[in-house]
Amino acid sequence: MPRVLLARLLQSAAVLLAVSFAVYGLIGLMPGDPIDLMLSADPRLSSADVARLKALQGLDRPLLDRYLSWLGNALSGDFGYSRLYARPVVEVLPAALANTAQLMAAALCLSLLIGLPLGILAATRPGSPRAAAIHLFALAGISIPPFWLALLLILLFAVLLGVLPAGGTGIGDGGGLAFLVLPVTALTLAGLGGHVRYMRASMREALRQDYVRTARAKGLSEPRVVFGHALRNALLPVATIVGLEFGTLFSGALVTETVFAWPGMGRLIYDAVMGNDYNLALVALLLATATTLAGNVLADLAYLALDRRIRFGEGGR
Amino acid sequence: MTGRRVPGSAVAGGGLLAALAAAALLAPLFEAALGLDGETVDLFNRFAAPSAAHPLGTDELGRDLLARLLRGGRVSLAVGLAAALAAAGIGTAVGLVAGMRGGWVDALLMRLTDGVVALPLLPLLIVLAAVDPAKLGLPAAWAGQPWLELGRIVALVALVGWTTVARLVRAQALALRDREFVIAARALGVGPLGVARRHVLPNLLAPVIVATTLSVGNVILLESVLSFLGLGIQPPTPSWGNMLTNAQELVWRSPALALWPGGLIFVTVIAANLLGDGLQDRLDPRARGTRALKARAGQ
Repeated sequence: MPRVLLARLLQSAAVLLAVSFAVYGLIGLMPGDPIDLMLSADPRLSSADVARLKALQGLDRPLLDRYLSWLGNALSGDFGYSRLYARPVVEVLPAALANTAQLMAAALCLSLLIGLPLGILAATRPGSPRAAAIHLFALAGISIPPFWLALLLILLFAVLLGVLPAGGTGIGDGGGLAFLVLPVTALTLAGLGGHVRYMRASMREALRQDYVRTARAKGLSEPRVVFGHALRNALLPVATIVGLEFGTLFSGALVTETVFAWPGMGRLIYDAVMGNDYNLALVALLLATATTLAGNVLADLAYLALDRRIRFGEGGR
Repeated sequence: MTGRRVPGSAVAGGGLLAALAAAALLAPLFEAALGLDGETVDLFNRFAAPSAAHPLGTDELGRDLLARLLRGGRVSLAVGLAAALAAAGIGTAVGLVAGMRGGWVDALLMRLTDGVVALPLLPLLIVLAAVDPAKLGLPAAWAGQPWLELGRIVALVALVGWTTVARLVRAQALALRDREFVIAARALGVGPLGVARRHVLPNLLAPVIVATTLSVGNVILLESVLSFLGLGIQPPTPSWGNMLTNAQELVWRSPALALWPGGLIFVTVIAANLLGDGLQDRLDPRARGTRALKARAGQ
């Protein structure tokens, strides 16, 4: 176990390093770099002046050189200054991360709590109207554009019914759970269809195995077959997928946060990229990547634990 | 393949897709026949209700909504199809090399695939989409050309969409590698490229077609998200995604502007998924839904 963990952590560190270099390079290719801004401030600058300014800012150095000095600063805790917020980057991020974590945790839990039972229901009664209805619902869930779903929720609950706020956190007005309802609903529904489909496919596969036939032949009741024997095996592939989903969840959060003006990491990254706030965009992206990778490692560990216990349990029976 | 019938839902999905594609392809004819065009701005006729002149009404600039939906459909469907094909091409190449070569090449390519799947892709795509073509050293005359915008979004979406096909192709190639007819070909002195092209690839065609069909839906969704965020197809070229960019502010004024483009994306993606599900059932009825599961779980 410790060796597996170490290998996973090293792999994640390598991915993070590669992403940081790639994003650093890409951000240098975005419009509106500091020199562009100086140019717009003083259109009389000649190209010789521009070259001198670049040299003054160190922007004439090779990419790798600049990246390494950024990395050195970052590793010593200096992540630079956010132009958009006029504050050090490290002061801007924690609040956004907390807001996103709140949104993502609520949506993931709800989506699993609703999706997995629906998937099991559909798998245990194949061909029934109930299974067909769940299948159709899941298909709609994976096919609906997430931002359009968010717009529909706003249209229904904020415009037509007027019972829920259309966006924001309401912190100035005392805040409240009401502001969380629509974003969490939108993000939950964005993942729900996939969870139903994975659980259904995995449970169907498990119910075809020999040990299920044995359990049925033994005369066990159907619920005991499903929940006592098939469920744990059926959950394994689903656990892997949920572990790999943190990246997707982050992407979904970006859309949801943008539509609902929810001040989380996704919206922060979007605003930073759009507002040419290089330092903030880079660090926020890396933080998002690091969080996602950490989620993957945790899911791997959970999977290993689950797998080991099952093997152990089977050996003891 | 047995003579199993393709499920009715797949036929419905395929028919719906064909109808949408036909409507988009024939858009200029419709426009001419109805005397509409999607570009004329009429500021005295904004947010008009449906009428004989404008069957679905007009948008915030007084442009005809139906004509813009048809034109947007051309762009969205073309981009979706092109990106799905490009992603299938990349995925087939990666999966074939990994499965046929094995060893460290396989390990490296599969770690790369895992890495791509695990990343927060949309935030990273936003940075990629914001890159200034001029700073890549592309000629200044290319900037703002519609085909560059289209090519860029196709490339971006393909760049993240290839992983499912790659895993699927790798698994199939691994299974085929040790089959008798492949070993026989090798024993006859056929080189690795020849084996891949003549003996393995034809056997991969059916699963690749299914995976590509299933990915068309995802690709169209991704394009619409990027365009909605203002990073995909740029106005004035309409796409179903970018027609929704302003819809959020306007939802109070004219809900129809938000309902139509999103509804069409929804219907298109559902149709593509129905068709893909049905083809998959026909190809391998036992593995209903499990193929995508296994491909994603990396088994």
